[in-house]
Amino acid sequence: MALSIQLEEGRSFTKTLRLAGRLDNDTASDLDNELDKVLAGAVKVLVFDLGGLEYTTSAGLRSFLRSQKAMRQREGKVLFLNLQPPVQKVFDIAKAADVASVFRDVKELDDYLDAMQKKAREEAP
Amino acid sequence: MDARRERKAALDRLEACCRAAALAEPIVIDLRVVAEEVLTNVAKYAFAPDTPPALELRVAFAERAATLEFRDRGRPFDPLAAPAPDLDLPPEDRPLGGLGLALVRALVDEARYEREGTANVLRLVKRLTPQ
Repeated sequence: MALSIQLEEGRSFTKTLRLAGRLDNDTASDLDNELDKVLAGAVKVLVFDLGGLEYTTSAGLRSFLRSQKAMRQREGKVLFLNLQPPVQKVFDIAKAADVASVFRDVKELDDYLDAMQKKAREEAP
Repeated sequence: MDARRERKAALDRLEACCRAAALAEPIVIDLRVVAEEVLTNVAKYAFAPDTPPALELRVAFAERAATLEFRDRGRPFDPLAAPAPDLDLPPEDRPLGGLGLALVRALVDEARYEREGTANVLRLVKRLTPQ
């Protein structure tokens, strides 16, 4: 099965890429192309929903690393959602994501984003 | 067929063999991931960019283990000797390379490289835990 990528825009400056299928040496370039488009816009929080992802190889990890680097440059965040066991295993080995950036489900992620928005409003002059 | 399609065909074939041998799903995925990492690295480092990589992959199943054997006649390249990336750096500060072979080392139970005459031979053993 190839890779399918769906882009969702919900909250302001937040974009979610929903991945399903297989992220490997053949499909990672599709993700990179999509990332280039997403990163060309104003985005502060980039969420990868990996609920439908069967597995990732190092090619996929490189795409994630690239997006983490790009988002850090603009003081944004990359968050990961719904890691399935084969993906979690590879993330653990490569220490691909900070624990604080990985969320079990949408509810956990929404709570986090709510708190982040609230904090930003309070800090705004 | 170009090298990329040939690699995908080999990986699909490996996966089909693993399924035919009724391996547990997580093992099938680990073996596919490991084989992809080895094939891409051998193509990159044991062969010149304009040379089509010629590589043989054999898989053998025993009761307790699956063995992958990769054999090529490229220049000497020991994938197990590749320096491990510093995984304790935050993701944002990491170099992008070296991850694939780090995955290989972590996902198999035994790994051995030998230069046999003019061939690179890499044998990887994955234990089959009863489900």
